[in-house]
Amino acid sequence: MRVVRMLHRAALAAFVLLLAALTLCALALTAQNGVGDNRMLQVVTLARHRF
Amino acid sequence: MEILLRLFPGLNLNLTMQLVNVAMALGAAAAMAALGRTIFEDSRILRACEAAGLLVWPALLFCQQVYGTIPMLFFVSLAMLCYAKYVKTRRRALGAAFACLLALAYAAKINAAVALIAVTICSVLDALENRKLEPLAYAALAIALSLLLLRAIIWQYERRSGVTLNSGIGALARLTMGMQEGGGAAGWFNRYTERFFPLEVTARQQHDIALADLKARLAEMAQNPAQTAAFFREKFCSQWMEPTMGMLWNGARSEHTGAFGEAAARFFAKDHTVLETLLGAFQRALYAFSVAGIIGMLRDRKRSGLCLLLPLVFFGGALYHLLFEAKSQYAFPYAVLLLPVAAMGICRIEDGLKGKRA
Repeated sequence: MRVVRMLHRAALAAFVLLLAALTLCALALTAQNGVGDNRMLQVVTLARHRF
Repeated sequence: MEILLRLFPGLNLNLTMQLVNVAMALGAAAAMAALGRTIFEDSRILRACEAAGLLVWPALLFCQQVYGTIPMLFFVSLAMLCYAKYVKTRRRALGAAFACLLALAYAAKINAAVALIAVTICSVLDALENRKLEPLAYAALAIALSLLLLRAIIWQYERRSGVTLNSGIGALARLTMGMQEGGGAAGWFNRYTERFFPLEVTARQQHDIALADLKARLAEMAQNPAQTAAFFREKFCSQWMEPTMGMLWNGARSEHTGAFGEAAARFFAKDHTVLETLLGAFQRALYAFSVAGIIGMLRDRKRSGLCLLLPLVFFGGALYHLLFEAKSQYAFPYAVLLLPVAAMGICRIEDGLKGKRA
């Protein structure tokens, strides 16, 4: 069916855009683990990459 | 686990479950490789998946976490494989198998609802495209079995113990916590839900308190759009860009009393480590190859509706954890489920390079 095909295409195009945005963010940023007061809680801070 | 303990009294259940996790993690990796080959009909995907899987060897550390994550991932990956094979062959046994496996995954961890919704969406599109009701029937069976199995497990414990279990922490309380600061990063677990643990707190009280807190937080967010945007940016990036995906922080050995606890604290006290660099590089490669994989699908005129399955699960998970409680360990199952798409990307890049050389 043409409508379903169009839906597939639109969804895949949206996924490409979203995943590309995620990749660009991942290239620029990282989430660094840190040690907080409470070791039961994982603590992270966003930082720029140092390649 | 209860049956095992009855058969072997004195068995160390914690260690047994960690060993079961190892077996299930390997099973999930094999199922994902088979799923990639089934969806994309390319035998190279199998090897590419195995190679990509080897790069995440520290993921085996996840097996020390006695939780529902690895069992859920195992059942979800098998359910996806059965669903893909059902769509290809239309064998009814495979339809029933994916419904049962999704129910088991939901019983292991209700986050499997993301995969359940993705399969339902694919089934609706499949039914529309092929003008058949059968895919819809199996999706409905999967939903019904998921709800019934979880209810049945709770019911048999209540019946045998004579104690009525309360409903636990509801989705609304988790949503409210997901909108708050004060945890490991924006929207992360911050112990907000622990106030609802006492048995005296009724489900009604929990609902009313969580709703009032959520409304207050949403009003605060509406007044500060820039801060709200920064909150969601930090929440999203902190979950999906943490290179270890929590695998060194969580689990029997890594907790504050565990053998790895001190080592993990020393590890993260350092500014930057080789392991984090390697895992970060793999994470970026996984996302980049996945983009190439989805572009490959988009360009493939003979693609089937199955191509939507794994991207739908990934983005369902991203959306769910953007709203509800966040932790980097929650990204792990979705990263594994993205492996076949990344493997497809590797094959498409290889095709492109060969084409240029030829």
